[in-house]
Amino acid sequence: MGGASTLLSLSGIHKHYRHGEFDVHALCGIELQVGAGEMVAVCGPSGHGKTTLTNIIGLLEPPSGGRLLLDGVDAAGLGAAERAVLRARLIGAVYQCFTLIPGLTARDNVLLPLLLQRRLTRAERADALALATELLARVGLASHLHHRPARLDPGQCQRVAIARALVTRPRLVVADEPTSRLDGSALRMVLELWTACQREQGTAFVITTRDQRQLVRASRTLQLSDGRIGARQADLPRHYPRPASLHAARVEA
Amino acid sequence: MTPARLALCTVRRGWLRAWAALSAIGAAACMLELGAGWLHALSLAACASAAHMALQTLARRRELATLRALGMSGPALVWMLELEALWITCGGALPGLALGAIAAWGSGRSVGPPHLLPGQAAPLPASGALLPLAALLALAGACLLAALVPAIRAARHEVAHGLALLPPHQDG
Repeated sequence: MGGASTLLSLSGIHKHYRHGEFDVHALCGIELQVGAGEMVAVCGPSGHGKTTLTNIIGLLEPPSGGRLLLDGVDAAGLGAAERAVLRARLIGAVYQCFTLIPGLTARDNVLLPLLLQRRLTRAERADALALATELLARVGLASHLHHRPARLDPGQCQRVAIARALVTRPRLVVADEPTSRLDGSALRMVLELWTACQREQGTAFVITTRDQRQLVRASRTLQLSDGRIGARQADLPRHYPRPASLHAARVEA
Repeated sequence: MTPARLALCTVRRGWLRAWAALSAIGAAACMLELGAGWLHALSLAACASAAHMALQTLARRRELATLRALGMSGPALVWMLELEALWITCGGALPGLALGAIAAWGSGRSVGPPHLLPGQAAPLPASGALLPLAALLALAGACLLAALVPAIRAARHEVAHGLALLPPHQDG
């Protein structure tokens, strides 16, 4: 991936944490390019840096070293406020455990990123409401618009979070285990929505997952192990092995 | 004027002067007591507000981190928490003032009008809306100040750490 269509470029990304007396190297020299309209799946065992990688790509935390270019902007050296502006402008995110606001209905949760970006006029607000309603309908929650998160099951909460990530029409969606609680039909709806976004808006997706069903739709699959990107596959075969098996194979090798 | 009447007048004047001085001291003491009472009430309210906001922001770290992650700026978060503190303060203070007024009116009615000398009547608080209004404003100011520290702390908290916290139903 490269050239003019590259939306996200990571080169030599490192992340160190200080955990008591120990220095934890969560990510070691990550190299990754993602183009517009591409879906990259990152898989790997728990605790090997997937969430850290999505946090860095999603501009939630800065890398300890390396270069992160997002839509031509070097985001690695930005402060928290600048990162927040860039994040709101370019990125939609699905976080682990969905992180919905408990006091808001499903539709208001989806609407929230738009309301936080700027003050909407009456017409814009009507459009935003229509968009939020449409997105919820496309993930199968048309009858749950006014339900609060406490009245939704985890799979439905996850779908609300997925709809929320798309409401700003972002250039890049970063999702951390976004389909872990979805059943077959819900997953199909979500994947169809994502495919439509890729095709119609050129939205790029970086998704960490252990869900075999989702890997089938990815343009590329990367294996993250011990903070390093390992196996790359340009086109994923249908018999793609389970991530656990992949990791076991790497360990055996 | 007969010497006896003159003597009586002098004693009276002296007595009156002494009484006026005593009243002034009593008035000052009452004012101090009243001021200390207000200060006590204000500090209690401010402490309660600070403790409440600190616990609230601690319990809502995940929610606040979500708001930050979705695009809410740090200053906007501080404003939101300050407005919440103001709302809670008004929600507590207005019924409190109303209950206090009812209690004062009731106790005034049951005890009856005080039969005091004129000098002693002075330190009683002036009636009217100004004092409760001033108290309310002072209370709101104290609570806003007290809520400022937890609000700023919440705005500075790492977003990624807040999002990594488990939701309440998955905690433990």
